Amino acid sequence: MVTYETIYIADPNLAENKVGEINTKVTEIIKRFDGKVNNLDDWGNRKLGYKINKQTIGHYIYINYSAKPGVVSELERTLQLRDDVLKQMTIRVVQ
Amino acid sequence: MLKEDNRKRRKKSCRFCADTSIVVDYKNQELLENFVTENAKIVPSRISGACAFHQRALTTAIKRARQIAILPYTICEV
Repeated sequence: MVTYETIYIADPNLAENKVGEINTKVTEIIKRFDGKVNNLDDWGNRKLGYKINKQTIGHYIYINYSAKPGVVSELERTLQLRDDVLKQMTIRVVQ
Repeated sequence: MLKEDNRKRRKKSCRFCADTSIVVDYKNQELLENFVTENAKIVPSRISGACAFHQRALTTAIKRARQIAILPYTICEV
């Protein structure tokens, strides 16, 4: 089990239940890899450092989880396929 | 003959070594903004005063923050 943290930026104009839908999907994938969500934090709308898809504001969601290593490629693939996720980043947490 | 340097230079100390409660984290925008110039460049350690270990940690943190748009890569004037 490795601990990872993922941040993804959702479209700021997205409805609240749509964001919840992405979150449940992400949690499902983590569960499939025998994972455990340590922390799911919704940062809300924040100003972006630069424009992404002509947007200046983004809805940040932060997840800290531990799971088997295969989870990262699966999670990144799933998020990349969605049009309502502007950007994402996963890093391994070193204790 | 070498000219003697009379200017008084205060030795800078690493603020992360002085206060171990501050953790360099790429998610901490307020902290990282102190270590980039107004053009969003990374401030060198000779100016920031950070030791080599913490300067390296800062560099990684700033680069990660740029990836996820917490910090800008550059201030573009178009």
